[in-house]
Amino acid sequence: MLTIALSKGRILKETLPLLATIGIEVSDDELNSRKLILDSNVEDIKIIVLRATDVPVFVQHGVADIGVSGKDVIEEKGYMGIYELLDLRISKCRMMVAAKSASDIQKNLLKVATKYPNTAKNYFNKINRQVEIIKLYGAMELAPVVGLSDCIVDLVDTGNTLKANGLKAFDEISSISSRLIVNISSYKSKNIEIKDLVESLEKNL
Amino acid sequence: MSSWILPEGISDLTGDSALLVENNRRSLLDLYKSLGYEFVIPPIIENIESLLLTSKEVDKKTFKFLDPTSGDLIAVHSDITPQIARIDAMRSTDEVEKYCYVNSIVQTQVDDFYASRSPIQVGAELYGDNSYKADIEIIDLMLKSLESIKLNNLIVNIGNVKIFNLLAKKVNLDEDDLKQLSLIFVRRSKPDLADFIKQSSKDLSLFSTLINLEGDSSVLTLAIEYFKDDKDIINCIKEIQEIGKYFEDKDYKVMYDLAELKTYGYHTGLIFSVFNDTFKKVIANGGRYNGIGKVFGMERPATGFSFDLKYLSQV
Repeated sequence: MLTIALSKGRILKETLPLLATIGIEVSDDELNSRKLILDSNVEDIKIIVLRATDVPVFVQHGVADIGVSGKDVIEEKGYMGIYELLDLRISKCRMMVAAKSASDIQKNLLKVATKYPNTAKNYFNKINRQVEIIKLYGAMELAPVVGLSDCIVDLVDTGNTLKANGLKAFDEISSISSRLIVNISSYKSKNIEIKDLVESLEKNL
Repeated sequence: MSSWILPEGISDLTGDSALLVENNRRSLLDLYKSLGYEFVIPPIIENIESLLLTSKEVDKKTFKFLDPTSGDLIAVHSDITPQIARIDAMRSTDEVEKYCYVNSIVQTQVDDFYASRSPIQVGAELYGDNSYKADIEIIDLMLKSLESIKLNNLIVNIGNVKIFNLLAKKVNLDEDDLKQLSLIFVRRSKPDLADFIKQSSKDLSLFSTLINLEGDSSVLTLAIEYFKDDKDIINCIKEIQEIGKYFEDKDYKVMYDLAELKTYGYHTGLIFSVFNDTFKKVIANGGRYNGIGKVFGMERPATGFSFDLKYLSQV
């Protein structure tokens, strides 16, 4: 039995066709039901659909053997107990530092608003900048505009939201895409099944 | 906050749980005694230098404080292995010495999920024998220990950190690159490895071969083919092959993982871990840490294993 954790929204939408290419499908009835554990057409494979931030947690604890999660979430949660085996090349975007102007990110003690405090802290530590992190859960772009922070660290896709709020992207921290992660213990105890699945997926990317 | 709430990651053992841990402790000590392992109880606190050795990981996990008696910085043990290294070094002997311990330790941060900050660390260590037979003895004892506390369907995972280190030396990686590459291997991040190789000016293609060398015994045949020109790596693989065959012959499921690295910095060669299908993380692990006693003036071959009795008794 293999349990695959997927996150709601864009990743789910883009992962299901990928899984279908290797013969794993979930019916519309299952997807539209209120069930949280979904049956697939393969008897031994179950799918669970979670909030994006919860996928690595379920895989790390071994409740799910495999997960598809954004690199942003994995970096933020840490790699304890998981292997990151594949870049699925979907849901691509960039983790960026954005501010109103370049001078805003030159300050000595930089105030950074972000949903990704660990990622932001690690990045600024690496470039020897002292920062004060302000953890927010949404509407990040508002923070520099109203003077809550000097800059933000956030995912940037088209950059339209930044532009609409008078912000510009400056430094790229990392490029982000969805990754296939595996619980280490599952990988050892269900090695052949997991490897087969990963290899088939890789061939179909 | 109620005064009976314990700090995060710290818990009591009471009633049946406490009895189970105690019964398991007794049967383990009987087992070790019957095989000639000397029981040692190292102190809870020691001078900081002797507890940390040179491992940054051990350092991060260790509580330190100022000793009001001496004014020196001392630490609470977060890992017993450095203490065994000190005990062995104090004996200044060339003989083979075998130690075992069952000790509560305290850590500033947990090792992984389901772990506590106050595990009961059980372990056995063998000093003064550099042969693979010593590793077989230690792995065998590790498996017997787990079986004695009623854990079955064990999967043995074997690797050797020397292979990664020899390849890194060959391509002359600087310290920062080595650190980054080690992290990529610990996370087994194949996408990050591909990016790292692309960005490097060096030919690191052998690392993308290495990261895939895990699975059943067929990976060793592949590995021998890939690394046929490197005598040192071939020796490592052949040693893994011998050890693995020994346990396969005893009907254990053996996995080979040449890309496996340890987060504790002191391992120097063969490494091993145990999984089974009911636990969601590694249940026991160990390896070779030759020369660990250097800081005490005694560089001896050493191999050993440990696991958290509290965790394994509770689940």
